[in-house]
Amino acid sequence: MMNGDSMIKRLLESHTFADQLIPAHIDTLVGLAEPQSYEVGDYLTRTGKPANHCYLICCGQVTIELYEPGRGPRAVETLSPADSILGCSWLVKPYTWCFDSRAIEPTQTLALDTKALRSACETDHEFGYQVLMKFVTVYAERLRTSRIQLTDMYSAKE
Amino acid sequence: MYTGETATMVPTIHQIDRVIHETQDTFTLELHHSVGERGAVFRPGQFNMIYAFGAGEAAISISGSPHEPDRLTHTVRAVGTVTKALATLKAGDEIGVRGPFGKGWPMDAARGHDIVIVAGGIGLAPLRPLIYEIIRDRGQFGNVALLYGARSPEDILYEQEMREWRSRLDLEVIVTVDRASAGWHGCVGMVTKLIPKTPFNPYRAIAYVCGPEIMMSYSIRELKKQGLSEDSIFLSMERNMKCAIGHCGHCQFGPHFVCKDGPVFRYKKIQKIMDIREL
Repeated sequence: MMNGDSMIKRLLESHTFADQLIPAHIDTLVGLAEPQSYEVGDYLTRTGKPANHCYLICCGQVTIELYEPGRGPRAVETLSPADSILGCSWLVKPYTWCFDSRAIEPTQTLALDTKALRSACETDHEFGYQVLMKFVTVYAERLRTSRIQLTDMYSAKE
Repeated sequence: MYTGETATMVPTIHQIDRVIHETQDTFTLELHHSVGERGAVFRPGQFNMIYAFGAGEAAISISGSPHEPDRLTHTVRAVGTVTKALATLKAGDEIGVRGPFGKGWPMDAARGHDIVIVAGGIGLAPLRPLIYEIIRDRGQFGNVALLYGARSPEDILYEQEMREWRSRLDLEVIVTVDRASAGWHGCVGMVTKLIPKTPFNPYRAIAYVCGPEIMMSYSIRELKKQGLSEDSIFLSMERNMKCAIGHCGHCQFGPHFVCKDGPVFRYKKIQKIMDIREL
């Protein structure tokens, strides 16, 4: 039977986030990770709340929502395992979420303790560099696609 | 009866059987030949020049089934003078049709292969005949995925048909929108994000891409990231087509005329000129 850590390690190693990480760095992440499950409608993050975890999506689908007063929540992006990571607000002060995120399918994640992760990044700069590069790569791609969406490319053009 | 080049330059009269309102600004015209002649055989991806009398001609992709020769189907977005004039027509009205023109989607290249179809906005229209063809010969292809990006849920084309395709067990259909409205429970984000979620063997897959050029560029980039070669990607280009037979030069794209050498091109053939802004 698999104990908790070996199950987490197996989940982590099969996740795209772990691609090209050395075993020592994976072991560090295993110590910070906790498997979590969400039913449809469950929130992973709430705007303004402390960003105490970030998430590696293992299965399911999550919608990122912006709450507009008077109009309610608006989905701005959906994320699945192919998108790898959910949450970067833990990286910059004041470490609070800027968006809601909610499961729209039964979802499993590995939740990383972000306070411990920041501390591990500060202690081991090589680990920190590798982790930050993972986040930068994912978020640079999201910024790129968001900018293209801003062009409203499907709108009518004469 | 006209022959030779005259036949390609003289419109034949077609009558509108039905107008289907797809979205706020997009509609589908179902036509038949006014004097009862059988319609021209076309290949998926080809286009006709549609003549709105008193307004002019516009190149419009054929969006119906290649196996219904008596019915000609075009999906049109009302954005210019001609297409806005077409938008005012109703069943029983007549229009002129020249065509079919251009090179279509190569089907033989895909037999025995996985297929990834990436469509954006009205770009789904020229791909629909291809989808009909694939469904008709479904056993001849591997995994087939249709990835479709629309501006909003209200802008999704062929909604009923999309539902039918999604319900098939032998087609993977994923739809995403750039802007979700209340009640939308599907994907939100750029269509390129769907490509890594799609199961295909990059060494035995063919991709067909149609949509705004910026969407096609980023789709190609993602398809290549997933291992597809430049040889295995086909895209449909859009330029200002006038004569449709490669004489007038309006649709010149580097050394090619889009009307005659395209609109469907193998990516490898045009990759070097795709990023040249002046073209």
